Formats: sequence, structure tokens, C-alpha cells
Amino acid sequence: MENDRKALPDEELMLRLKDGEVDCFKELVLRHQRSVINIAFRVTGNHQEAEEVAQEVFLRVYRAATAYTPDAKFSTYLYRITINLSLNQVRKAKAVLSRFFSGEQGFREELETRETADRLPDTPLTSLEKKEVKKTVRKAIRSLPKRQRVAIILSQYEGLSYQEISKVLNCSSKAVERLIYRGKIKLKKELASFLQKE
Amino acid sequence: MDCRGVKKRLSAYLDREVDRRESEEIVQHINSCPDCTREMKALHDTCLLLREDVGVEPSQDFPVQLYERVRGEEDRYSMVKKPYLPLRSLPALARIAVVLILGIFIGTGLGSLTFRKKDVLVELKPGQHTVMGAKLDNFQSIYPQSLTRAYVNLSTSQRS
Repeated sequence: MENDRKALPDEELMLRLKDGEVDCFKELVLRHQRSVINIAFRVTGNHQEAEEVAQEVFLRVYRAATAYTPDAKFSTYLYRITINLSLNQVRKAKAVLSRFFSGEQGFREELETRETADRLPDTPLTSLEKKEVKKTVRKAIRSLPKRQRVAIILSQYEGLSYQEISKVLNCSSKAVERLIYRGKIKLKKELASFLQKE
Repeated sequence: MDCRGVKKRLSAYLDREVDRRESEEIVQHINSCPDCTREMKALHDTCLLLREDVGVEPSQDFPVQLYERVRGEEDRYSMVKKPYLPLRSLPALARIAVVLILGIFIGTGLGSLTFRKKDVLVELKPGQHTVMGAKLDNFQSIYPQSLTRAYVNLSTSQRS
């Protein structure tokens, strides 16, 4: 039975979840949790926040199952929720930052704790240079304007085509191409020091 | 294709988003243009650097916490659906007793409604009791198997 579920497309799993097969939801989570968490992580820059966002994403998928109709690819729908919630999280974090800089009591300590947690490596690293590259790449991506950031993440990390990204962002393929082109030009400048070393 | 046109399409070319004809034009231009070759290499190396960041792994607790939240949602939903009489939680005999008692109350209520209709048609006389002042022959049309008939029979037998 479990092997049967693994062979089913996402849309079929959602329809079965609609009929009450909760195990289909678990299969969807297993398939997509890494992508969802990493999209949220690259947008927000914080692992803990990314997992909170991902939890909310999958909860919304679960709640929406009763009314689900396979009008579009499930992944398009999933990525759209992920990006919207991730960007909401970034907006909330900016509000936190403004309170930090205004000197609100307690906020400085809270934010410093979060930043420390974020500096801890997620996986063991072989050299300081690789660690530095990773940190700089993440910072460079977070410095991009929102739509360029999202387009780059979906293209370079999730392997989506321009056409698929256009459906997630609700724009034309040409617009996606422009977003990615401008994003890469900015990233090329941000990462110039590493490129010269190569 | 000139340098400006090629540079604009290099990103799409590297992402394999150009058709075959355009791809050939870009390759032809790059082979003869050092500037565009440098630009393509820089973009290509930027993409390679991006991929150095392989991302993060979900924490072990992630699915467990998620399923707990889902279970919480299910509990809230079932309470909303069945907020009142939890009949299913009672044993079978208790359920039958509840249904019977409810049936008696409903039957009596309906019977007195039927009786009151008869009252409206019959002139009530003060002092008469048990069947609220109406005469017995007014009850001929009451359904013989009804609770109202049973009550009337009982009260008349008590009077006699």
C-alpha cells in the first residue's frame, strides 16, 4: 500500500486526501518538505522560521484538501503558498528589526539569540572557505529584490522552468527571464571576489 | 545577433530556455567574441557558486510536530460538527432509553396539540377536568393507536 502511494502523482494524493486517506498527506509531506523548507529558508534566512513557515504551508494544504480540484499542478500551488508565507515572515521580521533599532527593551537580546542560532552550521563543513561562500551566497540572495530572489530560488535551486515559475508568480515567461537575468547580474557583482579567485 | 542581444539572452541560454535556432546563433557569436565569452563564463561560475549552498535538512521533529498540529485541527473540527448530544458515546441500552423518552415527550406534545384543535371546535365548560373540558364524544376522530387516545382511555377509566 505504501509503495502504491509513492507511485501516485501529487494531484492523485490530494484527491485521496480529500476522500479521507490521511496517509496520502504524509506522503506529500515526505516528498516536498525539503523543498518547502529550503525555499522558506532562502527567502527568510533563518532555519527555525523556515520550518515554522513550512508547518503553516502544509497545514493550509491539509485544510484546503476538502475543496481541492486539480486545476493546476500541485507543486505550483504549493510553491505559491510557500513564497507568500515566506515573504510575510520577512515583513514581520523587518517589523521586529525596526523595533530592535529603536532600542525596545528585550528585543536586542531576542534578535541576537536568533542571529547566533542562524550562524551555527547546519551541516559539518570541510573548510572555512566553503563556509564563507555559503554565508555570502545566502546573504547575496537575501539582498535581492523580492521577486528576483524568488525567481532565482525557484530556477536555480528547485529547477523550475521559466514557464512553471511564471505560473507561481502569476506573470509572463518573459518577465521571469528578466527577473532571473537581473538577479544573476546583481549576484555576479556580490560574489565577484569569489569569482576572481576561481 | 550583436553583443547586447547575446548578453541579454545568456542567462536564458545557460538555463536551457532558448530554442535550437537561437542557441546556435548564441554559440556562433560567443565563439568569435571574447567579451561575451567572459560574460558567459562569469554568469556560469555565479550559478555554480549558488549551487555550493546545498540548503538545509528538515529537523527530525518537523513531521512529528506537523502531524500533532493536524490532529489538533481534526479534534477541533469534530467538536464543531458534534457540539451537542454525544449519543454515540452512550451504551446501546442508554441510547434506546433516550430515544424512547424523547418519543414519549414528542408524542404527548403532538397529542395535546391535536386535542387543543378539538378544543377550539368544542365549547369549553368550566369545572370539567382531565380532558380540559371537552366532551368524550369529541374524541371519536382521535387516532386509536395514539398516545393521546391511551391517555384519554386511562383518564376516563380513572374517573369511572
